[in-house]
Amino acid sequence: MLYCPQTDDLHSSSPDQAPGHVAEASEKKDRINERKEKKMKKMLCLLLTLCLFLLSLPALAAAEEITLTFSSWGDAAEKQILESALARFTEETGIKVEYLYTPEDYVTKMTTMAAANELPDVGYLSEPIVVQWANEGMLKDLTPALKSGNVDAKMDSNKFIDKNGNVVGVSVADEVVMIFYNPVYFDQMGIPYPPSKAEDAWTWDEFVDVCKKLTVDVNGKHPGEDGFDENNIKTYAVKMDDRDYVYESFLYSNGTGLFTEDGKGIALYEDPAVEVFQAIADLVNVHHVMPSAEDAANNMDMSSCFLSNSCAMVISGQWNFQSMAISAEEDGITYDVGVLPYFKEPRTANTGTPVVVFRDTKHYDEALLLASYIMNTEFVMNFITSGLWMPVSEEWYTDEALISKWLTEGVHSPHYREACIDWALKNTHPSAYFTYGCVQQLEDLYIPALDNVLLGTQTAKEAMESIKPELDKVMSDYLASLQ
Amino acid sequence: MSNEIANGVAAVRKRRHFSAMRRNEAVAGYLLMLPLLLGIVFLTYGQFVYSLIISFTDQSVFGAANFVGFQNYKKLLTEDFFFWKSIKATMLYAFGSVITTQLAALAVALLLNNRHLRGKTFFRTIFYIPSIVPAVASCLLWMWMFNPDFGLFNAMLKTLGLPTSKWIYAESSAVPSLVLMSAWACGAPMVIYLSGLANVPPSLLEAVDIDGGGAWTKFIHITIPMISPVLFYNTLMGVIAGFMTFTNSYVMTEGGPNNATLFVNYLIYRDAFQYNEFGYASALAWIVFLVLAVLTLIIFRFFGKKVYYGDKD
Amino acid sequence: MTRIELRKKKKKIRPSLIILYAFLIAGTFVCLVPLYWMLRSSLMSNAEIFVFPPRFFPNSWRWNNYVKTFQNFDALMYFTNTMKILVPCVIGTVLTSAMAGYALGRLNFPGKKIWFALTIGAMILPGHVVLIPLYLTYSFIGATNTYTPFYLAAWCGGGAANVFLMRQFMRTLPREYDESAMIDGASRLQIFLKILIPLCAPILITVAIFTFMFYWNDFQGPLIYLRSDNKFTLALGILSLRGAYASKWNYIMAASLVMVVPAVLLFAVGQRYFIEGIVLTGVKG
Repeated sequence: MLYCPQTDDLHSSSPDQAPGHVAEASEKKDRINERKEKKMKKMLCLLLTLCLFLLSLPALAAAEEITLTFSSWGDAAEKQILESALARFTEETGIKVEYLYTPEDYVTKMTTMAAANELPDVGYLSEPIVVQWANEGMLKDLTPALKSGNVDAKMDSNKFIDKNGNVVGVSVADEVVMIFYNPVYFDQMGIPYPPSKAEDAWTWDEFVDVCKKLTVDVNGKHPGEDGFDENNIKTYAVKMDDRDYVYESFLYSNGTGLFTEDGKGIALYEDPAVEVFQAIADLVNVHHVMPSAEDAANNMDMSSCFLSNSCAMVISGQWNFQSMAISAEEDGITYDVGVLPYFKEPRTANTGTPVVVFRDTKHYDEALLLASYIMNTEFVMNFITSGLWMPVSEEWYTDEALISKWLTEGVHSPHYREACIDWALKNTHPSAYFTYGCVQQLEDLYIPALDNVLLGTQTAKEAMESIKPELDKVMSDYLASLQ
Repeated sequence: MSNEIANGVAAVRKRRHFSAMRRNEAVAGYLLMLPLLLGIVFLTYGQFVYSLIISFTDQSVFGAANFVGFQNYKKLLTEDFFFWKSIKATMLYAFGSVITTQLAALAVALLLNNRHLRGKTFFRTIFYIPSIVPAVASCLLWMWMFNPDFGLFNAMLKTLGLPTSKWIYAESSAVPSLVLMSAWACGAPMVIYLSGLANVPPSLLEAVDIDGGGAWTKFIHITIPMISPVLFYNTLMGVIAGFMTFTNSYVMTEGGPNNATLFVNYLIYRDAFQYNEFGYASALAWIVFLVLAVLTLIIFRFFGKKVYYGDKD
Repeated sequence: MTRIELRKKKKKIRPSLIILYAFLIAGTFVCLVPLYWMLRSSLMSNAEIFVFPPRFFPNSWRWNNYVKTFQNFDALMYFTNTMKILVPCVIGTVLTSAMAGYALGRLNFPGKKIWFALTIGAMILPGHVVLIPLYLTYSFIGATNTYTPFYLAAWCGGGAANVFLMRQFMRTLPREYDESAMIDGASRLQIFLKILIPLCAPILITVAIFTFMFYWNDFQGPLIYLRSDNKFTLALGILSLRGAYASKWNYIMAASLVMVVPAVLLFAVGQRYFIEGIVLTGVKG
């Protein structure tokens, strides 16, 4: 340990002591000499240990034990599941794994370690960063792992592709967006449940109509009726969480997306996208069926919404099944799922945190093996049965025997098969994160710009026009960086 | 003749003694400063210089660093979409929070310094608690209190018949809301004021009593000058802390609504770690450094001269 | 004023005292709200926490939450680790910042103004951009995944803010002490240790308490510098309650409350020593 000198050491005698202190001064000199001797002895000890250590290094290296580092985030339960998965890996392959657990600020830590060339071998990486890092050469190609036969075939919609066409990340879980609803409330209001089959999905207008029937104010009136008090709404029809994925889903549903067809331009300010944003904002300001940003209902968890009947439906991601299952047990709420309403075609965006192999790895083949393990659906079954993840291999969606392995009573609601499994299989469109590295910057521009649209102080067209130059700049900078 | 020589020798001896004393003082000074010096050189300014150099490149943490001169600075000042809004928001927050927090801290400290007050220990602990509650918990709590529908604040305003606010959910009221939140955690500066107030000699206060002066005279002519060192410290630290604010906007508002609370520190973090534009972020940090350096100089020039220390300097 | 008149004046203070108490009691409620809110949240189910209108009392008092929170959580290990960092760092900070504050505040040495300016300057560069070069420095000396970065930072001045605070305080003490002691033949360092340190006890304890609070709650430092789970501190360990997509807020509140309580107790006990003013032992006036 590198300590700074203790105060004691500062008791050195100064040259101008008055004569009366000579005796003290010489005593001090003795003490100082003693300390110097001790220091020298300490230094010799350290040198000796250092020499021994250096000599033993070759021996250590010759032991040929490979240790990989694996990093992830997550809570304690997830940590445990991963630890047991890693232990099983070590058992079966003899390769040791050091688990680097980073509960918070994962990207900051990874970036810092990258600067010091200390990146782990394998690990998670947040979706917005993956393609960015890959384009800078920070991630290695996973294709050999996928072809090796150690991993079940992965769906193409869950592969992260860098500018060279390499597969640099594969989602450990598939996640899609759908409508979660409170069946008890629908029963109370006498309204049929949201459709669970994509063929039966509501059009946007049908969706708005149902929302109006679901929304009631404190006097029991619906939007559009006389005396409806929009400032005192008791139950809203719908709210949207995780806006980036929800917006994307509806953009795909309207035949557009963040980017133009050729992938070289921004589509966010074009008419189809503007139409989507305006429609969503109208839910708040025109139809009064969705809470605005400041409404209490908007800031509640899904389970709190159903518990207090503040919202009949919540549009959010599949991962909510885990916490809803816990809430069902703790608070007795019920929940089920249906497919999203559509503009032109029923669509959802899909996403999923990937596992990647980092640039600094010194054992590429072994790292690929570890990545395969983590990608293996059997291996992470606990996450899937708890409702947090969905599998990433097609056969787990189509093969009956396999489906029954991961469908869990009490977690996956009655309409899960149609509204999630079939939905994810047939109606999904990969999120832009899988192929573009500039999505985060675009979101940091357009989502705040939509704040005013949702408040009703701007139209979607105005908001998007106001940031059009910025969006274009991000795109052109990004394209330039790909050269 | 011998007298002159004796005087001369005495004078030389005195001079030697004084210069020896001065040398003594300098040696002692540097020895005592040694830990701080080592820290400043190896753990602070070495890294500062590194980041200053990086600010003139287009480094992206793991890419090569190409020298780009003042391009980053120019881009920030002329082209960056967020920069000016961010600086304005940060300044608004910093000055707002210094004023409210220091006033609150001083007021509470003065109240708690009352001779006749019982239960000082209890009250002091109570008022300090908000500043040690973990940020996660206090941010959640304040989001609840700020809720326009059911939150505590609007409930109170409604009962008093006053107009309600949208607090952190509207662009215009977002920063003032965060300023209010910072004033609530005035426990730390309050403690420092209490330490300073404890050093005000009671004899001086009694002298005012005897001369027939009231509480206000005591406050202006005795208390304020006597605590001016800590007043100075707290004000400067308050300004710096206000500029460096990060957690509140990161956790509570994510820079919104519509970037109203996108403070510079959050912008730096985002540019450095989410966009991987490290050179650009460093340039932004150094602009903040310059702004703060100017502010600090101003505070030292105007405020610093008026501070009364006990020593004759 | 005569003594009788002074006494009468004291009696007149009563009504304002009542107002004072009223205000302080109101303030107490304001300041205790967070603690109560953490307590009530920790005893609820996750869904209950965010329900609007907010419930002041949990429907079912789930004391079991505390058991469940610490089931997966090796509190003792995290606590020991926290102490391993905290104790040396508090000592180091108080000591080295007092030393530097004394030098900057009461001694004259060439370059003093420059060093003071540099000290203030150290506080005004946003930390995010220094994070990486600092990490590189520690990585270079092989200090990552150890507690050395914390010790070094604490023992090399303990932070510019503390040095500045010490300097302010040291400057308020009259020079007569230094001068009379020097006439008695004491060296500068003896003056520092035997006279000024006891006089500055209030501010030393203040800095100690603030430093304690910092290291007790700090998770950023341990997060960046530590890799092995068995070296994590309490503040960092609590973050393991935050999940990837959803957090168990009731457990987080329970753990946060458990962490706040010792800090509050420490302050309650420690504040007697510095605010009661050991300084006013007849030395002043």
